[in-house]
Amino acid sequence: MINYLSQILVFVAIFLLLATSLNLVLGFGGVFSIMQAVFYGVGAYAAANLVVNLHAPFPLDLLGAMLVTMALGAFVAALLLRLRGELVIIGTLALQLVFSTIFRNWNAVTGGSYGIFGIARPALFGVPVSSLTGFAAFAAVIAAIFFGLSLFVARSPFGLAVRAQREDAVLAGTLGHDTVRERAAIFIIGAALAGVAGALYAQFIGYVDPSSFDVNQSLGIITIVVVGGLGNLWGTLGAAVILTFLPQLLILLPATSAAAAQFQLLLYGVILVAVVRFWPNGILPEQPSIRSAPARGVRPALLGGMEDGKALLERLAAVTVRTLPTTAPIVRVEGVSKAFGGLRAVDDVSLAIEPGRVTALIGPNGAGKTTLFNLICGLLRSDSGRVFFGSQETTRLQPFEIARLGVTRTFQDVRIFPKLTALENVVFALSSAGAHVAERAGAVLADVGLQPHADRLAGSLSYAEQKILMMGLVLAREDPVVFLDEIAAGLDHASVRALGVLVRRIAASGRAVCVVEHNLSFVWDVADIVYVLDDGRLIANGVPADIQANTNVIEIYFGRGGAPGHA
Amino acid sequence: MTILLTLLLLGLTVGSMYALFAVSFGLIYNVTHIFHFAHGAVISAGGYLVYVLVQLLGWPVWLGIAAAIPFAALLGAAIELFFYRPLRRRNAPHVAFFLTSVGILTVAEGLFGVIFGPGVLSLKFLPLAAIHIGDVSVTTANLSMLSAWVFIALVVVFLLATRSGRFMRAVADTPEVAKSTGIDLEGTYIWSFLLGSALTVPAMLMYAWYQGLTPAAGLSTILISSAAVIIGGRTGVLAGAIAALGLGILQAVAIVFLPSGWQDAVVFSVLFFVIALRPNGVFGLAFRW
Repeated sequence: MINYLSQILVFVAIFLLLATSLNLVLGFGGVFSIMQAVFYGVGAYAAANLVVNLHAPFPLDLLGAMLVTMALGAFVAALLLRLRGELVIIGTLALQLVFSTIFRNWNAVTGGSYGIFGIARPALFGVPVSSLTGFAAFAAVIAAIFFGLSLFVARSPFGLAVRAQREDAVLAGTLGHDTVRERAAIFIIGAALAGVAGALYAQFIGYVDPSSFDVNQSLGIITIVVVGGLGNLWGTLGAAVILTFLPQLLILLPATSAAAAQFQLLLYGVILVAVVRFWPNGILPEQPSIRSAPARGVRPALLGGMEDGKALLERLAAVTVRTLPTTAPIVRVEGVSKAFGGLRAVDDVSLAIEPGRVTALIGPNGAGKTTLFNLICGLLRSDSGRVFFGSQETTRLQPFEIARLGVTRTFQDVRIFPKLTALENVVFALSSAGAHVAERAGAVLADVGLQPHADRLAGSLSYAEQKILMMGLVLAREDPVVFLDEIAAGLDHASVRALGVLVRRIAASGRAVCVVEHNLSFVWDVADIVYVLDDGRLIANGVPADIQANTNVIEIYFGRGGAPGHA
Repeated sequence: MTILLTLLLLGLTVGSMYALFAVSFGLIYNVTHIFHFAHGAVISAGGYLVYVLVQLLGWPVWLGIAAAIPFAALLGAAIELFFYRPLRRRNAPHVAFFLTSVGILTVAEGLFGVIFGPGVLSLKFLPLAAIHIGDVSVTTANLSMLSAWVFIALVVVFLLATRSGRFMRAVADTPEVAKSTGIDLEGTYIWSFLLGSALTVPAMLMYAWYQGLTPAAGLSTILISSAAVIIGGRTGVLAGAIAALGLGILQAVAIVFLPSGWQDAVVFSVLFFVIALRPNGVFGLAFRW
């Protein structure tokens, strides 16, 4: 009995490692990989070869398995992780099938369909871990160490970044994160963990053959992760225990082992479909990686009557903005053009966005304002022309590289990470720079009045609160250059005025601010200089008073006889 | 030379069968954008139903096939209705669709394994005989595969000439525009599931004639047909059919250059590198529907 339990414990350890590796990749990273059994297999074969042919002692076998799987993981990441989700599914599936063939046929390395025999169990301090119970303890310790490391990774700022890019890679990029690299890193970490599981398996069973690493194994690992809950490693632990014990009950059925294997397939399939359909969060839902410190014993719910969104927005007028210690760079756009098919969305536009001033871009719908923002921030590649931040050319840089030069941009209306808490949103926005991130993030939330909502999911906040949170991200980053895309949309008059005061204050602190806006009274209030775009071309620029009097502009907006003052 | 000709003919015929599988999968994938792995369950189910009706119950062959076609069509539509549609209503991420789809295929594979056993069942009413054409010989099963192109031609005519076919193309090309012009999206989805699933029966008969029925047949056919559809690109069903033909020929001819057992690696390496390097398919816009 004790031997039987020990054997199950070893398999719990192995499946815990496998499922944890996939949960990091799929649950946290959003990378839909169905090749986790490949890394499992490659780890097993690597360890088998190291032990059988090179007599590598522990822990060299384990390290070797990790290195080989990480190298393979890096190769796959480099080729696949720029692609959209469903292509990653198919690409990793293709690799799973390629490697199934390799395992079965590369006789020199894998022993073909016969596999590799005589893999010795490891020795610790010269004593071989040969008993079942001894190996079970060994496997449990290894699994605990790597599970602990995974928990640490999941709660680290890197873990938060990985979750944020899963939610919205574009937004994460404009906040200074290299999302492709983050996806690759979590993928490689997952590969290494699966490699450890493979090494454990090889040394436990004593031989490896291809049947343990096929596509059904990959799907079984996915089932464990989905049952446990995407993005929650404790759920994975629970599911690994349950789903390793459950098939053992099949032994009670009066059936051959081949039929038992089919029953197990059936069982896993039913569980997978039922969980996705009726229990999409699994056993345990995702938890925030960081929580706000309760304000000196006062529970958040008691912190004053929760102010309503409108009152909070009006409070923005009182938020202080730290003066910029250095001078902000001038953003210069020189002859930039961009066409979509036959449509010239931006046509030979040149302008300068100077520090200490609010520069406004206005124009009718489809005039190219947001396209111009995207060109400046690197989200689109211009067909011709150049963009400079100070003396540095940024025309061909990635969005995250431009963001790291000191640029924050917001997106039309509201764009935040809805599945992260308010606090996590701010921490993430800060995390590309500096220490004491959590305290600073908490202070920013307190400044804008969102402290009571710090631990709520941003997606559950009201519209006004989300907008405040978005401005909180801008304030937290304290970047010298700020692009604001239609922040006044959807707000009442008093809130727009408050936002206007805040925008003026950001410019007065020495920063370069550029706004795209439809709300013209907001523009006349805050702008120092106004550029007017129509059909992608710049048709006028000047101080608000001049623009208001410019007959061309009046015509574009209101037709003949109109007046902008009545907007 | 004879060997090469034989292999080419083998590839051509098997590739034609793959093409029909690819069209059946592509119809559903292009229109609904669901990576419908459970298609493999429908494929297997149709094959086993014919086996039960004709071989075990002694029905006439034509009646068995005539019963299997609407059965497969309804099974496919039922998966859409009872599994995918609730997920769509819930606005579930595409991961949920894929997991459900994989789960259904897994259930089917387990179920058929429990009922029919894991071994190969052959259809005795489809005798495998060799036919000699000059020095080259092929089996009757291989020749039957060439009829796949008749079915594919019928599908293309349906897509080009009928109202439902036009709706399906419109939804596949620009779902938002199609919706805004008043096309019933979910009705069109049902149509593509009905048609795509019905097509699996002739394709599966060719497959079973050639290599028998196994519980894993659904998985292996869905892998090759989805590979072909991705390699072809999502511009219509013809691109996938041509890619499937190419994969069949490649698989057959690869045996000249590689030891046996490695063919799958060739096919799926091609798939992997196409995805990595030409994610929109290899044909561009060369084949529209």
